[in-house]
Amino acid sequence: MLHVGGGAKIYRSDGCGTTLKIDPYGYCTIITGSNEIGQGSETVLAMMASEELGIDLKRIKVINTDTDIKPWDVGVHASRTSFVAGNSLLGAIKILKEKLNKKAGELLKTAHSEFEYDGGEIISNKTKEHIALDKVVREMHFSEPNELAIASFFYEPTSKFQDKEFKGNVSGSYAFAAQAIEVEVDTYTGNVRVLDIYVAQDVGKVLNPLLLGGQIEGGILQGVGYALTEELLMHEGKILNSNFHNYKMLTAADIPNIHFFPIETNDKEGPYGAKGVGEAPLIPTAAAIANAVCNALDIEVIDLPITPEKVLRAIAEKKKLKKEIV
Amino acid sequence: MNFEIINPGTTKELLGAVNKLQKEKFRFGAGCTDLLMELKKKPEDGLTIINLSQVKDSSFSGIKKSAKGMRLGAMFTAHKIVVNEEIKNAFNVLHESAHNLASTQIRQVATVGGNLCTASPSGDIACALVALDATCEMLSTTGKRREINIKEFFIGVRTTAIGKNEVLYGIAVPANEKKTKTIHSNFIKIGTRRSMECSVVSLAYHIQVNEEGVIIKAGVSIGASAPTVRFAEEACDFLIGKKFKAISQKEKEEFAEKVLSYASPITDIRATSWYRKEVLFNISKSIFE
Amino acid sequence: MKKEKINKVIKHDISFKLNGKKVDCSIKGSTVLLDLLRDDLELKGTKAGCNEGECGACTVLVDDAPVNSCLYLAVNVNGKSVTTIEGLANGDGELHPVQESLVKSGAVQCGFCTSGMAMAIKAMVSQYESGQHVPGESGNNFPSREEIKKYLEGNLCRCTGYVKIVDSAEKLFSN
Ligand SMILES: Cc1cc2nc3c(=O)[nH]c(=O)nc-3n(C[C@H](O)[C@H](O)[C@H](O)COP(=O)(O)OP(=O)(O)OC[C@H]3O[C@@H](n4cnc5c(N)ncnc54)[C@H](O)[C@@H]3O)c2cc1C
Ligand code: FES
Ligand code: FES
Repeated sequence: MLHVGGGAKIYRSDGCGTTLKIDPYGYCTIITGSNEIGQGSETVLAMMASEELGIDLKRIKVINTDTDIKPWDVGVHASRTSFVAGNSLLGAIKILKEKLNKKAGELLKTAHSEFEYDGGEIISNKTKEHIALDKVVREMHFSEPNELAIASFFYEPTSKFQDKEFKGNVSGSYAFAAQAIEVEVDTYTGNVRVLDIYVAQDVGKVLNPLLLGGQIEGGILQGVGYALTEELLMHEGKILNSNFHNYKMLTAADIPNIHFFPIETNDKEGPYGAKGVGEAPLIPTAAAIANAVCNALDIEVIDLPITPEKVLRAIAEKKKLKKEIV
Repeated sequence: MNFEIINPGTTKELLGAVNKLQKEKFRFGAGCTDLLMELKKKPEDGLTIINLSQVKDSSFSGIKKSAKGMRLGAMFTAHKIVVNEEIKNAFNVLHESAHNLASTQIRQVATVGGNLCTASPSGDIACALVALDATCEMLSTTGKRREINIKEFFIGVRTTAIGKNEVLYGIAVPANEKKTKTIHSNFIKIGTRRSMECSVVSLAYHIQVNEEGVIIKAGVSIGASAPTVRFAEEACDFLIGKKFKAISQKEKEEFAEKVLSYASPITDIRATSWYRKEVLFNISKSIFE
Repeated sequence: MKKEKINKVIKHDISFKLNGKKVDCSIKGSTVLLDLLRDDLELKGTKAGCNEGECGACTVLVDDAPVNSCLYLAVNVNGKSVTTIEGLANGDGELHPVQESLVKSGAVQCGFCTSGMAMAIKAMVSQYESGQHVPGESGNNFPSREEIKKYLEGNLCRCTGYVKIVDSAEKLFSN
């Protein structure tokens, strides 16, 4: 499977803006356009800022909910957040560091301009002399030319908005995945039970293994639902099953064994080589399950969702066909 | 949703409340899982709920065993059935039906009485109790007890044999036969997910076999296949005297046909009538496989 | 005319323990526990996902039993003890082990299901501790992974695929 992995230009901009601020006490605030709906972008963005600025995670705040203040972003979709918001944050950090480096150089009385940020300190790469980050921020603010430690950046991926024929290099990064699925088909009831799912996915550089696992597992179970039970039934424009009683999401009792084999690569466009991972796990799942069911029943096609009833019908039709041939 | 509620604390108060409301619109609330769903969807004006869950009476909410069998109070919950090891050993069909009912949370409060009195064709505990040949015991405002076999309890979709001045008080399940050596007892519930399913079709069976391997008593019932849960009497009779392990392919199919003859399923958004029949036939056969 | 009707509504006085503290209130007979908690007592940690017993987001404990508060009559908590997500930790700033395990396992994504999940897991732990559990195939007094999944069947989660939630519960029993 090939899918977009961040920076897909579905609209004319797939960019994200960031405003970054460090206060005189060394606390950092990231105001990002990117929403948090559970995918973990808050954590990942704070981790990036912590890594780059040497500020403890507890001193970093991510503001992403208030549309009155946050800059542009197009939403949480297309596996884009870590990739686009991450690049945007790194852009803002770069600008801010230039300001901080300049001040730190002044205060440490070195012409040298390469610094490391660690443990709340700014450390000269060459002399190893260091100065507290919050002190540098205060000096920036209170000594002339009186500046705030604040920076804004807008990242726009290099991808192209699709042309009228839907062609073009649409995404900043691409995801690749393969899944192998074993199912058991009950020929008496038509129930399909998904036993094991083997997932190999190009995930770029892994930023947070726990969050990555969560995205993969969550995506897969949605994929299984998509394959087997989830269907919005419509009649004359009205939804017939607009409740959890008849729209059947899978429960904990339905989860198959998920075997995940992350293929770690380095995406040169992504932050630290990372790429989007959220959607790829749910896209091949239904296709693989349908293939497995067809293989088990020795039939050609079956449409989604593969309900027990469709399976029994397929079995019955095959029997009929056999009889006709004989 | 808007209703009045009366909370009797004793059986006497309960009967008093029923008596007082004879000329008015009232409903009982046991675990209220069905009742509240119904009233949320279709609110009723001027309704009074007689709340059964604060009545302190062990005959109404407990379990009692005797040589004749087991008696469950109508307020006995699905959870209590599920965690009872003796029920699991002696009447697995009942254990399984309760264990597959709704969810952990619903089972904490859902009662046996509520499952029967709701009289849904897909009532799981009801289906198991029909296979177990249970007896329903009603208590009337005069204090009189009336017993009827569960087969006569269900009159139609959502209608039962309970009178307006009665409450379902308990359910008695006859003990297994003395000569019984092995019990084949299970509840097969068909749905699309493995949990949180309302039965698309269900089959309950409790088949007792003696030392020689011969079937001496059989109870088979079907759910979600007709306006009420149904006892497949002819299918049961067919089994008596046969060796459980020696039932032939032909006999299996004959048995399944007999079970199916009790089914008149409908087509709805969950499944077609064709599917329900097909599955019922197949799972009936599977009892012997 | 309408006003008269409203005035005629009979209120019921109830008294119960909520997260360890005694609460007295006067409610309508048809009030469900979820509404009492969220609207009247302003405890918003308990979530309303479906209002029909299907999702488990509204799970709270009534005398240690996990119930769907959306289908539970508030009058029936009279004299009982109710625990919501707000009362799970004991208020000293530390998380409850169930919450701690959810966090450490990465079991929280959007978080909508989380309070219900936490309460269900807490109930599972106490029911296993007190022997109020399904007679297990294994004969153990702790649940197998399959039994944990079954226990959590009434709590839907759209985000996580449940794996890490089940992991978090499993860890509680292996300690
Ligand atoms: C999400 C959800 C899932 C469900 N899944 C299942 C399922 O899988 N299988 C299944 O079988 N059911 C299911 N049900 C239905 C319901 O939970 C069960 O039928 C339950 O056993 C009802 O018990 P209760 O105590 O809650 O009944 P209540 O709702 O209190 O009562 C149900 C009806 O019976 C009457 N009644 C109750 N007790 C008595 C009595 N002692 N005497 C006279 N009348 C009485 C009431 O007036 C009411 O009309 C589900 C319900 C929900 C909300
Ligand atoms: S809100 Fe109560 S179960 Fe969904
Ligand atoms: S974490 Fe989002 S629903 Fe469970």
